[in-house]
Amino acid sequence: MSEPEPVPSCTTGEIAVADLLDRVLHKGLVLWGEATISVAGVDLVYLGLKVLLTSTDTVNRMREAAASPPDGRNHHAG
Amino acid sequence: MLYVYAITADHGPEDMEPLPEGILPDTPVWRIASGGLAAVASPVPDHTFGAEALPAHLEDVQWTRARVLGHERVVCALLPRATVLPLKFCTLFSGEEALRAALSAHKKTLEQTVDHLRGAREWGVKLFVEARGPDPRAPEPVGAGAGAAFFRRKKEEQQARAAAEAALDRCVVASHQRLAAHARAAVANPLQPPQLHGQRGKMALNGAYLVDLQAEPAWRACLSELERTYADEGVRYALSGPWGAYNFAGGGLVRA
Repeated sequence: MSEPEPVPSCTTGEIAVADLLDRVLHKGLVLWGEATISVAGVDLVYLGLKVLLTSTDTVNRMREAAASPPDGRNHHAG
Repeated sequence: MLYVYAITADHGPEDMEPLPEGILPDTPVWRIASGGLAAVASPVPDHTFGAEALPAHLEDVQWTRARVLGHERVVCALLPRATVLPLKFCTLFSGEEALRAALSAHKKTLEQTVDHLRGAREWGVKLFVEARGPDPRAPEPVGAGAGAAFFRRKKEEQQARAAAEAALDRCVVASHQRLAAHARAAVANPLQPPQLHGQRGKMALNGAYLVDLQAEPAWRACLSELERTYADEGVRYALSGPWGAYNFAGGGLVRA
């Protein structure tokens, strides 16, 4: 993997990608509606970013995500 | 389909200024208003973000990284313009109708969250500690009593390590408590392992703080004071932000 470019922060120079991923992937408002690719998508992101995210915590989250069946509303019938 | 970055409220006049590029190159960013709230979203193609196609794209770390940065770019641009509820990465709706239905269904919870976040910004503080080098060692004892001296030294080293651990614990607790006391809300997040944070030393606190705009000078002063207090203990603080209030936007689920 090539050296990633630094991430511009709003006001205070560069921020660590790890901090950004902590927030964008693990936190943030979860808006449930008819669409629910959101939740499936986030679980997939844990897998997709395994190169970047090697923390035990993330691995555990992945296991939890894999182990627990998603909420019924995840499966949009339409 | 629609990729949604954030829900916003309290829109100022500058909110009419153009937003940066969206989640994909050359993708426009729209505001979809619903009462006092708005969803900030981009139209994205099904063949990229659809449930069938997305998993394969997300396996591509560089592609995903660029999308995460795109998400953050839009959220950052919104921060000075409105009260922002940043959404989790890859929140997708089939179309405007579905998005409006969700906004309407969750109106009350969203408005409560807006009230919680209004007039405050999220900051991150991480605390790193560097292990002290081994003390300059006295010459190995020799002769009579060498064995006893050896065990005594081992015991002293153990006690010193335990004391250092206890001192660090006190520092971490005090740091988080004092920063939290100047904040509207605070959370201590899981620590990042060294391969993730890439900094010298070991991470001992990964805090996020929702700080009132008016309280920011006092909060920053508190951080400076902590830095002065604990500098001698090999402790270093790293400040980041302001962030979209990801940690305080209701990481819990908004359910119908």
